Amino acid sequence: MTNSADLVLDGLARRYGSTTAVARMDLTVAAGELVALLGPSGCGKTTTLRMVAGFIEPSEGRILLRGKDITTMPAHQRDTGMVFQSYALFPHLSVAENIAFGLKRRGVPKPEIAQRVARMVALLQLQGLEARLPKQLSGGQQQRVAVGRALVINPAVVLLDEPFSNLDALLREGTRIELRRLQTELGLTTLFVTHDQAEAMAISDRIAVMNKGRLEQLGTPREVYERPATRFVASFIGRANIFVSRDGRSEDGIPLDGPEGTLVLRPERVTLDEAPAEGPNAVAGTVDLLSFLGTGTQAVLRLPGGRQLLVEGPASLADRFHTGGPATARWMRDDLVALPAE
Amino acid sequence: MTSLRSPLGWVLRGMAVLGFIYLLGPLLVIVAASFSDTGYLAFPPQGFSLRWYHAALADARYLTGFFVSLRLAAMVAVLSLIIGTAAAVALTRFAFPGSVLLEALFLSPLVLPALVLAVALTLFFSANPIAPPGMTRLVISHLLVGVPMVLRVMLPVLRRVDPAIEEAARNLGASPTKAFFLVTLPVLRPGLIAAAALAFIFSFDEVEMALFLGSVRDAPLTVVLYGAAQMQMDPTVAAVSSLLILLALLLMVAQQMYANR
Amino acid sequence: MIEGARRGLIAAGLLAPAALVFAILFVWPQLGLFLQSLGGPPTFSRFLGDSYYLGVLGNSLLLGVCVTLVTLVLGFPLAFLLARAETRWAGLLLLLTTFPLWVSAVVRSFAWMVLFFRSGVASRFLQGTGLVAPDFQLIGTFAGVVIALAQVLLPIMIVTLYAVIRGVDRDLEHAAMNLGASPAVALWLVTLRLARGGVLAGSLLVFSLSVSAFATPSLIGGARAHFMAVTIYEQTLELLDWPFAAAIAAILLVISLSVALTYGKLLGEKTR
Ligand SMILES: Nc1ncnc2c1ncn2[C@@H]1O[C@H](COP(=O)(O)OP(=O)(O)O)[C@@H](O)[C@H]1O
Ligand SMILES: [Mg+2]
Repeated sequence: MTNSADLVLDGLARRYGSTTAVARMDLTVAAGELVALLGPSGCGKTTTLRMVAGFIEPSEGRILLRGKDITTMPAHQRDTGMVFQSYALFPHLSVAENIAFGLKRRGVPKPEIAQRVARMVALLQLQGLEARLPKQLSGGQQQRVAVGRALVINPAVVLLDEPFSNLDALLREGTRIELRRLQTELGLTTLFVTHDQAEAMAISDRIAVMNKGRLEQLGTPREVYERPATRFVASFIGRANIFVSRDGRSEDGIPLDGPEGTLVLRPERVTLDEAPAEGPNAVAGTVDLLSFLGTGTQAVLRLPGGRQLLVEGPASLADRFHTGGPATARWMRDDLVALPAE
Repeated sequence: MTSLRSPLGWVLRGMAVLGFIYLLGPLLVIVAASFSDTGYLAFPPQGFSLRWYHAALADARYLTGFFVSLRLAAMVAVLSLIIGTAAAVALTRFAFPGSVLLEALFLSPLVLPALVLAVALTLFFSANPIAPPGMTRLVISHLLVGVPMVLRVMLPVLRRVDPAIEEAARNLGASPTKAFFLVTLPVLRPGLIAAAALAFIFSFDEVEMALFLGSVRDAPLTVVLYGAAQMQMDPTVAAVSSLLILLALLLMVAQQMYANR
Repeated sequence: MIEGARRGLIAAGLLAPAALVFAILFVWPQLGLFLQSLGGPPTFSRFLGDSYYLGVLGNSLLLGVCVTLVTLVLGFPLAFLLARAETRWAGLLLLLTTFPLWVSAVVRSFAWMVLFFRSGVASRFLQGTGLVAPDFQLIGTFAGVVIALAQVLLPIMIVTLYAVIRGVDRDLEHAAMNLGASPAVALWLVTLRLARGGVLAGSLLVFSLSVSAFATPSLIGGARAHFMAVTIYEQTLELLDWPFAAAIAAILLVISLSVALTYGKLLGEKTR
């Protein structure tokens, strides 16, 4: 493990006065791996990333890059390539000069600089734009220059801070696929910050879910989705119905056949029918809302206790049920996933 | 421009043309009058001659005054630029308690009467046993307006620049010093040029503090001109004024070209 | 970002030169000015009890009002058209508008002297109308000072108004017209309404500068220039009555400061 570990955060913490931006975080990123730092705004993602880049000094803990302790190393001597949320392109330099900037600092010979810049320009489909200034580029092009500038120096770790947040939805998806392709092809060790759980699921090898400065769970996208470690993770990643089960009943009286404790029930595990509810893992209610999503239909079922149960099913749900009408929700014992006791 | 095709638009246009003539007309009048071939100031000019320019250049007071003003303005511009830019960086890049108040204090000389500043400074220097000589006194007095002028230009410029570009440079391997010279300075250049030009022209054109605080022997050009204009309607003053208008024009064009390059 | 104490040291170092300049050359002398005006014979009561000096104050305030009105009426159309112009000439025109600011007020006032002199074009024109005496000249008149000073301060008014009008979203005007307002009504109800704070701020700035102006009133007003700044000048360099001059300067300072505080507040609120 230590051999292939490119980046290690060891008890990394950062406090501002009495507020804790990042609390004692342990995280290991393997060589060639893409780890997403995922969490709501203000949870400490950017602070973590900037500690790795060397723009913020940690209050505690160590950062190891390829086995070397870089905790106190000045930012310009660290071998990290960062893509800023604002892109931070140098407004007075052309596309080619922006990309060449890091190579020049490293004293790479001129012919090699030209060659590597040209390769990066081709890789990112920026041909013909080399002489332009950043303000003469579209948002998507600026984003690619920012990526190219960080990748061309072949950094030990690539740091991306919400790199897609300034792009429109369609462009965002295309760029995401492109970036992932590039990252796997070049085998880049990457730390990727995002607050968008769908984005994190789609792009990463592993996800580090953060909340209020704390690392809540670290795992593959499937692990964090199917086996959330905390209530926060369960509701932040995907949608979830959450029950607190004791003596075979939820807190609002629904009969449950499953483990005791806090249980997560994903909406797509719930089926709807017209038969009366009998026995455990079934409950009758009124349809509050039916929305067609293209890939399926989402329903909100209002239960007698007042709870709104989320259900996701096939498109045909919209034909079989109608808003205001009755419906019975059912699920299997295995669909109830217990959270570890806190 | 829908609204400008209405009758109201035409009224506005007519008034704007009037305003333009009012604004620039007098400057043209003085240039025209300076070429008049008469022994007194005449507009419209009669004949054409350069004799008043010869007279102006032959008058040692004007020439000395010009070089005094040039030296004064250059020193004020350089010092204001350094002091003002440093303060602007501190006010925009570092958050500290009282920074808003400090900024207001630093900008306040711009809205205070120059003559009041001059009187207060004269009293201050006369009560001060180690008061510096005329030229130095005037230079440091002009800083009181030169520094706020630089601040007024540089504060918004610094606020507009993405602070992340400096971090990006460091991330790519530039030391803090290198990052400053390779990225920050070039990005700020148009603002710095505009700020220096403003401080220069302020100091060169200023008359109130110069009257009170400048040395009598080496009077700046504005003081010489002020005295001459008070005495009589001398066409030589028109010639000197025209030269100053030309100089201002050249400076403005140079600043524009250099800043937008 | 640099951390903690080192950060504080750097900020202090950057601020130190400016702070030094202001502490020694601004705060101290201005306090000294007040102290000087209070020391010795009762200066403030002499000013406020003398109808001549009260007349000077009134004269300056009236000058401020007149100059403000002239610059507002001539400045608004120019600023509005420049702010809304979509041609590439707009930049050049704006530059030309601000060009007079590059020329000393002494030179600009002298230009008016050429026109206002007894045999100057403007004075001869007025003599020709027969409304004034044959030897009339605009030099030395209140009207002459207003005309010249308004021209000297007009660029400042235009620059302020230009920034304010640029700050008003054009679509608001379009929305008003879309809802049936004529261009004039849209301009009045929306643009001017939103620019109100900025217009007032620009007016106060010009007012304050006119009340305390020296070079133009002194050159155009000549020996009969009964204005505040000119009076201070006479009291100091000519009559050498420094405590009294300091008192008049302090009064001028208080006027300027209160006007500045008001318009600073207005500019801060201009978006509302
Ligand atoms: N310079 C600072 N001073 C004080 N608090 C800060 C500073 N920078 C960040 N914080 C706080 O630290 C927390 C984490 O911020 P950040 O890392 O930017 O969050 P994220 O990137 O996840 O949105 C926030 O609560 C923020 O208010
Ligand atoms: Mg962030």
